[in-house]
Amino acid sequence: MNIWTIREKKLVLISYRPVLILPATVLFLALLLVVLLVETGYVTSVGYDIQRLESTKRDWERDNQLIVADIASAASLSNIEREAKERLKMQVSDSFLYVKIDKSKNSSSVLAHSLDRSELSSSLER
Amino acid sequence: MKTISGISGIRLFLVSLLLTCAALAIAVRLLHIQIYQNEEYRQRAKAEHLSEEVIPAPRGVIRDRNGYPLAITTPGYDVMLDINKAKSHPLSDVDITALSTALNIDHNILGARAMASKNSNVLLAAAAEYEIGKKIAQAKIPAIKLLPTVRREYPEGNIAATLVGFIGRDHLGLTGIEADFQGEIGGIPGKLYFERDSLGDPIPMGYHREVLPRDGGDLTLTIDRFIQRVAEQELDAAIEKYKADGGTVIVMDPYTGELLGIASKPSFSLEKLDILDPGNAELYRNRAITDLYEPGSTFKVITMAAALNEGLVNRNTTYYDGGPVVKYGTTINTWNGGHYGMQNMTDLLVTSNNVGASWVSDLLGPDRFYDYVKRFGFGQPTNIGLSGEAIGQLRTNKDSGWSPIDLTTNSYGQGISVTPLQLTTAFAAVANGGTLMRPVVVKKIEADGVTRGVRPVEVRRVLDEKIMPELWAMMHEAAERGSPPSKVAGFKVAGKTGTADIPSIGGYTGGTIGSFVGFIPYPEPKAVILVKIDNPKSAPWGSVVASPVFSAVAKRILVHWRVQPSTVSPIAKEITGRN
Repeated sequence: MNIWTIREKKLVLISYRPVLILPATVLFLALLLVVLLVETGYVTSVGYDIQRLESTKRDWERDNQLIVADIASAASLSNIEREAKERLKMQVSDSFLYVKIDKSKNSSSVLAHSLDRSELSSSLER
Repeated sequence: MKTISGISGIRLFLVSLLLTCAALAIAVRLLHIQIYQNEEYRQRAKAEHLSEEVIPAPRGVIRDRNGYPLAITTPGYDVMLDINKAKSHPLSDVDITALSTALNIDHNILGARAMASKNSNVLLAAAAEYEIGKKIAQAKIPAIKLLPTVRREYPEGNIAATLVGFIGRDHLGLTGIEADFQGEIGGIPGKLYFERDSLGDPIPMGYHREVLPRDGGDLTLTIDRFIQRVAEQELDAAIEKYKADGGTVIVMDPYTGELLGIASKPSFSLEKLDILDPGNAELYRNRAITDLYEPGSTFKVITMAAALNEGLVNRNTTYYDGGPVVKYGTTINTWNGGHYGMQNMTDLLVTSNNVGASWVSDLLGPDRFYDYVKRFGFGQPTNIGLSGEAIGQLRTNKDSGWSPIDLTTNSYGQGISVTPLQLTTAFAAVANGGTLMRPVVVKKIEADGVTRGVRPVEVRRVLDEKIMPELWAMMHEAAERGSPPSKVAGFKVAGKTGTADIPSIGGYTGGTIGSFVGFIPYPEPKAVILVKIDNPKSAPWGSVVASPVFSAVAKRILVHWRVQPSTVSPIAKEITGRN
């Protein structure tokens, strides 16, 4: 290839320029619009995903708060008392027996304390 | 022609001038709108499209001393009628029925609420349960809008209602701890900004900005839920049994001043609260710190402690009770009219002798007596940190209007008024060896990852520790040998009964306040318990109405704490023998 050939090609290209500019621009803009469309679509999709995840997170946080509340209610004194009475058929005792065992002396010494003699006696008799 | 063209020229000129003026006027107006009123119109446009909603801050948890929640926050929904949508989709009768069933609100009331306004959104139900809100959302009623909010729930039910207090619809504390510690547990609400369409709905990809709320801190109280419940149960039972107007029970750790239980009745229901009913306002105050009463004979312990501390008497010191005495024109008599001749100080407390108490106060003299009364904290706030605390009424010999008879009547708890908390704090000083502690109800505050603990505060030393064995022994005998005795099966206790008239303007109402203050167990105090029963109808005496409540509360607390009984019963010996 010599210098004259190059000049000829340049001349040819220059002569076609006005014809190519318009379609090239249109093509470029079309491509740009497609890219923008894809990008917008992607952003929208990600945006919706974020909103959905945030909403799910909030739902879980709410569910967590409700579970904490349920646990607190289940552990409340009134609930424990109700469960003990109704489900386990337990009764409130007015008498108590304390037994103190001295382990160091091979459990030969036992000291018992009671708070209510009469009720304790009746329960022992039964 | 010349004239016509002249007229046309003028007309043309006038029209041109008019058009120019109009154009100028329009230009000036545009200039005014776009430059001078720019901000105003910008805001109006913004308001037209942007909406702002408050995101309530999750309120902190209020716990008892062992971490069990007394008040917690759960999610909920405000159920609103969207007035814009209601114009095109009005609520049908079926919708109202469905809502009234879900929200448990009367159909007619709900219908009336829905018709309350034609121009703005209407709140149909505030802070509905989360699950109920979800069900309503599933029903897809076009005119119904659900706004996320928070609810206050009370897992332990109504215990410590006057202490914990409640919040208003604006999520601000109105009474009790909720109000007094609003800054600590209230949190800071967040905000949600979003672009909305013509119906007020958010535009999916429009402007959206969320300022997250700051969670409120958690509060741990010194209250023990078990002790609080016991105090309230026994108090309720006593009020019903003795047909009383109300009452107070306080349980305090004497060494730290921590309140383990503080019950005052009448009270209100946290779960079924109607703050719009003005009749309920009387129920909201914590009577243990706001209400004053004459302590009556329980105050003799204060008088005796002062005399012992000054070395003026000991438990065997005697005086002669020869009958009613007249002092400064006033006759001083015993509560039952009985007189005991030669009597020692222990028997003075056992028989709750007014004549003896006045004799002791004479030994002390007004300066020393009122110095001790003040050192015990009477006539001044305890600084517990709760609002509405009364300071009591105390007139000393330094005050105008005081007369020598005041010294006499004050010695047995008349003519002086105190709060139940003040008296409990004073008895805690007796029980802990002589130091007045500042009562505390909040143990720690946890906010933003930082924990602030509340340490016990010693206010001052009131009594010498050396006198304690003697004073406690006298109080023990006063409880054990009282009429009727104040006993707890298996345990020894120390305390004093009191019966005081209820003062009114210019005299007394005729009703009484029966009380008992003491500590458990003797001689190793673990708790001070005050019981006060207001205006009992079936029996007026503290020994009859308050003492059994003290015994019942003390017994349940000691069993709860696994305190080993100090007395061995015959049946227990029998079992020991078997082994």
